[in-house]
Amino acid sequence: MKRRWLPPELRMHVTRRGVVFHYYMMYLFLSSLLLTTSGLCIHAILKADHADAKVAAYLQTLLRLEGDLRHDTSQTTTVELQDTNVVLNSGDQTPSVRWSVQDNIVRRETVDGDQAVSSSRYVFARGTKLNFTWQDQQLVLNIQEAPVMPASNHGPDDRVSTKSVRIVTVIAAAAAADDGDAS
Amino acid sequence: MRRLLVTTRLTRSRRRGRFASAFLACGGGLNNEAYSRVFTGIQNEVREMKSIKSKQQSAKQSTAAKSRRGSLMIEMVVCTVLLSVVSAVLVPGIYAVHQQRKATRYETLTLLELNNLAAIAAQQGPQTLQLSTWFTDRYGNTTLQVDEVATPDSEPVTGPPPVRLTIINQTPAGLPEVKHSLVIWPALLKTSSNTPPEAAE
Repeated sequence: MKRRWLPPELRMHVTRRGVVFHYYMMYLFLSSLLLTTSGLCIHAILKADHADAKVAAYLQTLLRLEGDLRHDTSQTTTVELQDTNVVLNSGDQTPSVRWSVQDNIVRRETVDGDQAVSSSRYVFARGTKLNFTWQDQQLVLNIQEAPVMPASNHGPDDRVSTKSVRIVTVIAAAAAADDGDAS
Repeated sequence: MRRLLVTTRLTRSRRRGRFASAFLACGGGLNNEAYSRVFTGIQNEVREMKSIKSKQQSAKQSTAAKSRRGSLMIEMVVCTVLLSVVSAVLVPGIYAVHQQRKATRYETLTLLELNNLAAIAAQQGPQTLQLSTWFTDRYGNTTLQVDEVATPDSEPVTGPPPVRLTIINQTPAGLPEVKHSLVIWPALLKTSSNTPPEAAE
């Protein structure tokens, strides 16, 4: 802004104050770039931490399930297959163990007669498909992992993952009461 | 009156000390010629001061303009350096976390597959063992190696010798292979079937 009350020879010596508009724009652009990059970095860190926690929980559940299932099948003498249940009997005196599958949850119940003595759950990610299979004296638990990126044009039941895990346990002295698949 | 005028002008100007002192040295009694000489000198001095001041102002402005032109470059360089440092710190860290997660998953699933193979070996024998399809679908560059474990003569093992199952993961060139092993003791499996095989590594 020119100060017209000054004599002409002094107008050129007036010190400019403030910042030009495109400097403001450049400051704004650089600061927004810095903040955006910082946000992306924090988001990447939190996402990696979240994925790490999910994988750790999944592996921990898998190991716990495997250990308990192998321990139960090692003491089993007879196997009863029902719709979604597998009942492992180890003798007349000891309570039997019932493994049941419901969606993405595997439940283990110690049953004495009709009364459940204790129970524990193994929760997997939503969308995980679980089923028990009995063949050749092998009790196999198939775990089909939930897909990471489900297709948008498919329903939740149509999601198919190619990655699976199988837990194979051998019950040498077992006699299946009902052969077939329990899904 | 003239003396008063000259005194006033002298007091207004800041750097006219020598003319004022000359004026006072001669007792304040100046004639017209002397007064005009002194006054002309003062005017010249004032012009000189103005020119010096204007030069200083123009020098200041040019310095400010130079610094303003350079400040944007400095800011951009600082921002670039900051972004580079942040990226250089974060990208390897996130990549390392990802690799660690993959390694943990591989170790867990390998242990699971070794336990499955041990169960199958206890039922069918170690000759027919091969990696499961679900495992080879995940890790295609893995191989299974079945070896007999040599037992010391001081501790003879009755029955078939123990078997070591090793899953070898071929890594890219320059890195050592990743091996996970499990030793199956058939004698122990026969006597007590509820004892899980013990992991050797």
